[in-house]
Amino acid sequence: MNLRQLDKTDLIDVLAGWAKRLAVYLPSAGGVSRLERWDGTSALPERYRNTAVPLKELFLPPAETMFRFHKDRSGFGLEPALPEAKASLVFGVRPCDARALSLVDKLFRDSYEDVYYLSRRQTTLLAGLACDKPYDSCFCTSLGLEP
Amino acid sequence: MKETEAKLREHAKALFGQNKIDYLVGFGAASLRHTTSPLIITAGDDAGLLVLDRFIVNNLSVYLRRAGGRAGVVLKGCDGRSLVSLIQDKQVKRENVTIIGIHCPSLVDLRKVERLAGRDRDEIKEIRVDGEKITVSCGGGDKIFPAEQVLFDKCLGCEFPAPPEYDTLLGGPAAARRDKALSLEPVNKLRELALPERWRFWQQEFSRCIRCYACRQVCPACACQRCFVEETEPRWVSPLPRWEDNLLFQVTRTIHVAGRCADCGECERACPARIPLRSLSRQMTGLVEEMFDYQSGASKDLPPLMTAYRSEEGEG
Repeated sequence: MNLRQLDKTDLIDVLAGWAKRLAVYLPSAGGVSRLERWDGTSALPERYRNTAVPLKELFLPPAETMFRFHKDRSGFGLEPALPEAKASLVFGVRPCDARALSLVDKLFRDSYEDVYYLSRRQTTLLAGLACDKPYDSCFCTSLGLEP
Repeated sequence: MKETEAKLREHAKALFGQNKIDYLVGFGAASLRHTTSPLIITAGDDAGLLVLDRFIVNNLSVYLRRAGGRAGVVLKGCDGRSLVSLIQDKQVKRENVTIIGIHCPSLVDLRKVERLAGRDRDEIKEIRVDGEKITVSCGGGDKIFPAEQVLFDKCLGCEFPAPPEYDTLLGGPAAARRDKALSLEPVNKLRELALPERWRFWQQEFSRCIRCYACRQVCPACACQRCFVEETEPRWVSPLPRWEDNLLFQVTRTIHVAGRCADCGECERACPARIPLRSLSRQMTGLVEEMFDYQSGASKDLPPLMTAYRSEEGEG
């Protein structure tokens, strides 16, 4: 395993380096907190604890194109339409959300492999961030996890 | 409020002692700070669990719909209006409810406190109300804010601090707040926008809606056994959380509760996506007042607004 240490002040440069090859997602700064495509300049929100909209939003779009079909004189045609899953990196994932997502992964592998979910999931790197200020309503430790 | 709380506990115990109620719906301590939780007690011995403070936000009339037995309920002004609407709609029988009215001193909006203090609610040690000053104690020290920056918008322009219908009324009359302009600030700010801007505002807000229906569940006026949003034949609105459908759902819901919405603001408080729903509902109640000269829940003997026709209601 490769371990690297970096100063907090260098984080932006590291993200910028990654952003050259990957779509980088970060907790949003203003408004209702969620994971958003990084604009390339904003830092992590100052007092980031967790997003209001959870991580799974990035992997469970409310609607998506699953296939296309056409009908002409010769008959029907059906073409699968896979999501254009761009190689991505999500930074700032809390241990609880990462664990939750691994459970969702199980669902989409049960019985058959769901290519729509998995193509997004498998092209995404999750960069975790340990908690230093869990909410008083948090309960990760009750489930055998740690902040 | 401690005095009123003590009186409430005494009175609740007495009601059970006299066998007037089977259960009482009130407020109890919550497990998190600066909140209370709805509480149902079934015996006078539990009256000591009842709580009254500046965080009694829930509209408890929502629990009385389709409830059986003889209920006791603790109601503030706006909640009381909701209950009257339910009585008008014949969702609740007046004779089955013992109403303990609370003269509401107006409530603290935790979201406003968080925003002003720059802290999350669990980082705040204490929120103390002292007349017109609210002191917020955090790790770094105390911050003091004037009451009107910290109370709910609805409380700022409250016209019904006490419920219009009650069996007992507790709490002294508090200084009435009638700053309607301040109370309507978010609504008026939106009205100042040109229509395309307003549309864009709501498009943005409703993009966050996840269709959890917390707004609907917490609303006493949303009493339908089968909500229009669940109807599939015909499908009135798509269940997909796309902003267009989210907006359509909420606007339809707002219209559906017209004449029964008491501006309790619970919809906005309950929304996990922080959509300013009261801006819609308050606009609607303003229209109802304007068009029909009617305030919901003011009198239980009036017929429900949308079921009665008065000949003065001409077209235009």
